[in-house]
This record gives sequence, structure tokens and C-alpha cells, in this order.
Amino acid sequence: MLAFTKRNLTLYFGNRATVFFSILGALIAFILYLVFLRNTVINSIPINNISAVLDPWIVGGTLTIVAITTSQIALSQMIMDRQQGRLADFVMTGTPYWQIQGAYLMGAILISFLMQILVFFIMYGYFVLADGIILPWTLLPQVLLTALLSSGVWTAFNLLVFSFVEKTTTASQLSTIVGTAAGFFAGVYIPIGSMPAFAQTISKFTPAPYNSALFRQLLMDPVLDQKFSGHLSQARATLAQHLGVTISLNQDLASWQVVGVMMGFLVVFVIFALIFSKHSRLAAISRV
Amino acid sequence: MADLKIQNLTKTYGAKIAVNHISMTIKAGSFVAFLGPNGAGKSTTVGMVCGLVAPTSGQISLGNLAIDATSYRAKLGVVFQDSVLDRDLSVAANLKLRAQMYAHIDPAWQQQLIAHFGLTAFVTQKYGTLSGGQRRRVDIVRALLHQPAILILDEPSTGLDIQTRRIIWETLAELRRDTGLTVILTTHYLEEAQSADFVYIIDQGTIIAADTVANLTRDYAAYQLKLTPVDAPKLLQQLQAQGLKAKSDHQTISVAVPTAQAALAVLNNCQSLLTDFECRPGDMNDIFIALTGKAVH
Repeated sequence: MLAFTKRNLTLYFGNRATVFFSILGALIAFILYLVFLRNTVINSIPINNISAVLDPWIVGGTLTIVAITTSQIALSQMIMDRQQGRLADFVMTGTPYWQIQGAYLMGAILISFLMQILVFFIMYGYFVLADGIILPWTLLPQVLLTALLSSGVWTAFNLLVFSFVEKTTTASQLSTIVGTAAGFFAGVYIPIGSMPAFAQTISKFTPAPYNSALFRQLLMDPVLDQKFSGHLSQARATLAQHLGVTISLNQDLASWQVVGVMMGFLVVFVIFALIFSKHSRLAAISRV
Repeated sequence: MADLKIQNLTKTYGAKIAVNHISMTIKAGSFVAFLGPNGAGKSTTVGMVCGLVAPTSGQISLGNLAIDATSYRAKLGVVFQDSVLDRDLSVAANLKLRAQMYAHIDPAWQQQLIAHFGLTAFVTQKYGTLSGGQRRRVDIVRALLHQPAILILDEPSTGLDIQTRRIIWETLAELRRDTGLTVILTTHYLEEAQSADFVYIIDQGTIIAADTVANLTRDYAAYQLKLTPVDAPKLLQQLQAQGLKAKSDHQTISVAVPTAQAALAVLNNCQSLLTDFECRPGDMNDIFIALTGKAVH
């Protein structure tokens, strides 16, 4: 299983084009934000030194997109192996099917995790240089844990999505759809507070806004606490909701509750993926 | 070592019958060929023998091992029709990964295979950069890594040049002599089945003939003589007088004879009536026409 995971990692990182487009696909949200969207968001929030607030905000959203798209690209290796009959060959080695599946998952989780870390440093690197903000070194352990959780959740999500996919072309079309939607659901292109109520409700049925909120709470709370102290706490709460730093389901969710929601999604995705795994297993090997 | 027994094997896809009640016993150590046109059901049969395609009905067993036993799979080595190794990994990395996925592999055996099939020169090269023939040799080594009792080759030489085919078949023959390996080959080339001990001709999911190549060729694929006559009606008459079935098409007259000697006799007898001739041994297509009344489709 370890050997097989290593193979998946080698194939991913060995292909420069895949890595390049994975990073580009993730950074495109960031670039779009800088070029087109930043001013609109700034104009809607009348506070001083807005970079200190918005820079970590965009980082939080982009990391969510990275988790979604890179775990999907990594898992598409599974579809490729299925389509090209390679999976049949792996099954012939007597390695149990669940171990092969497990190795794809481990590979995808690792790839998505590493890519989040990479993008985190690229974006902070840019903001440190451009806006003079400070890299929050002390938060790094929590960032790593959050990145791990989000890669787990999104890998499970993509496994479920791919349960019924047999062709690589279908997989890449699905990637386009999921990748585009991700930018909105994660609240990157527009703050969740600017979305119509209906759109807000819909997006709360996906893990994306919770995932962004988790990163944003982590990275933005110190800045917000500093900017809105004492009598401004009501304004802080309003802004945090508008920007998707806090998510409310009846009431504002605390960090641990957001983690709970993410865990809930993880469990649901895994259960459904297991239910459908019989179907995907048959599809996988009944072609020679 | 045990025989591979296939009983009443059937596979249907909806209304389409891919394999229709096939039964056979493949003796341990023998070399068996499944001969048939594309879409005859050869690959589906192979898939079922490998346990990768679930049969609609019928049984497959290897001695006392049932098809769903892990130890059954360990006895099989398969060279799939399409290459299944990673193009972006080196030959060595590909073989190493497969070796690690098996429970235990003898490294000495692996080295021996690499040398035997002449992979040493390009073992560090990426699999995707190899020529078709080199890739096939790697595929075969991969299939033999775990010292299987049965090697299954699904259309292994499609698109390969004659030299490469010869190397592959010579090496496999040596291996069979040394290890008593059973070989199952699917192909649509008669030449390739030539050295097989036994041939099953499959069409539309059924076995339409099962015999040795020598017997099949004798019975169904005689020598084909193509004669260019000086006087067509007279030649036809003479051939019929010799009890041969002749067929006239355009400028030439075709006639099937059982042996090379018989062909020489015909040519001798009709020498004065001929301006030119062509003689070729029968092939898969001739057997097929003889058996089904139609060309390979």
C-alpha cells in the first residue's frame, strides 16, 4: 500500500505540467482577485489599513479552493487507471481492493495538503512583500491541522463524486464544474454576505464556506480583535459574518463547532463513498 | 501442477451473448491458442479466466482452487492487450512497484527475467519512451514476476514486427521448457498459433473447432493455388478431371490442395496450360471460410 501511494505521488509530482496547472488553477482565484475583485470588496468595507484584514481573508478562501481542486486532480489518477485497465492489473497482484483505494486516498490527501502549504507560502510571500503584513508563524501548527482536515474532507468528497466516473474526459469536465463552483461556494469571488439569501443557504449545504471560515478565523481573528475592541464588538460581528469569517446556523458557530460540521461532512461522504464502492469496484475491473 | 477446467462458461451483456457455453480443459504445461476474429469473445473469456469479469454462468477452477481464491490469482500472469504499465515511470520502477504489490517475489528470478528478455539495456529508461517491441517484453516480464503457473497473453503481438515476435516466442519456448509454464494465447494470426499444442477456434462466443494446428490446417486450410491459364475452360476441365474443386475468378483460377506435394503434382500436370502461378499455405482466413462460410469479419 505504501509502495502504491509512493507511485501515485511520483506520478503527480513527476509530471511538471500537472503540478504547474494545479498551482495555476489554485492561484487563478488569487490573481483574479488581485486584478478584478479587490477594489469592489475594499469599497464595500470602510475601514483603515484594509490589507491587514483582506489579505488573510483571500488566503483563507483560496486555500479552500486549493484543497478542492488538487485533491480532485490527484484522484483523477484513479479514473485514468480504471479507464486504461491498469486497475485490473493491480487487482491481479492480489492486493486487496480496499488497500488500492486507500492508497489513492492517502496520495490525494497528501498532495492536497502539500499544495495548500505551498500556496499558503506563495500568497503570504506576496502579501509580505506587497502590503508589508507579517507572516503569522505562531499559527502555523493550526494552519497545518486545518489544511489536513480540509484535504481529508475534500478527498472524500471527490471520491464520492468519482464513484460513478469511468472516463477521464468525464472527470475533467466535472473538474471544470467543481473548480468554478468552488470559487463561489468558498466565498472567494464575492463575500458570502453579498450573496443572495438563497445562495447563502445553498452554499451552507457544502463544506466549502465552513472550510474557508476555519482558515479565516485562524488567520483573521488577531487582526479583527485588534481593530474592533470594546464597544465596536457589534461591528466586528457584522463584518465577520459579511466576510464569511463566522458562519451562522441559527447562531454564530464557534471554531470547534465548524470543525464538527466539517467532520460531519467527512463522515457522510465516506459513508456514501463506501455504499457506492461496490458499484465503482465492478466498473473498475470488469474491463480487460 | 493442476489443469485449468472451464465448464459451460457463458457471459451475456444485455441481449448480446459474448461467450456461449464454452467448456475446455487446459492441461498443465501445455500451450493453447484461442484463435478468432476481433469480437469473437476471446478477451471476455480471458477476463473471466482472470477473475476480472464475472461469468453469467459456468465454472472455472484450477485444481482445487476456485476462481475467487486469492491463491488462484497468484497462479496467473497476464499480458493485457493494452499496455498497463506507467509510461512516466522507468522500467525498473514499474517492475519494482508490481513486485512490492505481490506478497513475496524472488529477486534472483526477477533479475533472471530481465536478462532473459533482454531488458538490461533500457531498464532505467521511461516505459513510455520504449518501442512497441521493448514495451511488450517488459509487459511479459511483469506478468512473470511472481512465477505464475499459467501465462495468459491477450493479442500480444498486434502491431509488432516479425523480429520482435520471434524473439518473444523463442524466449517463451525456452521458459516453457525450463519451468513447465502453461501458456494461453489469444490471437487472430494463424502463424502465431503455429507452435501451440492445441487450438480453439472461437467465433461469436462459441468454439467452432478444437484441434492441433496440423490437423486444422490439413482439414480446413489446405494450400491455395492461384493459376493464370492460357486457356481457362480447358484448365478448369482438366482440374475437375483430377477431382479438384476449382474456382474461376477474373483472370485466374483458384484451387485448394491438401499438401505441397499435391500442389506440385497439379502444376506438373497442367504445365502446358499455365502462364503463371502462385502458391501459399492456408491461413486463418482460409480456415475461417472453410468453417463458417465467411471471411474473418
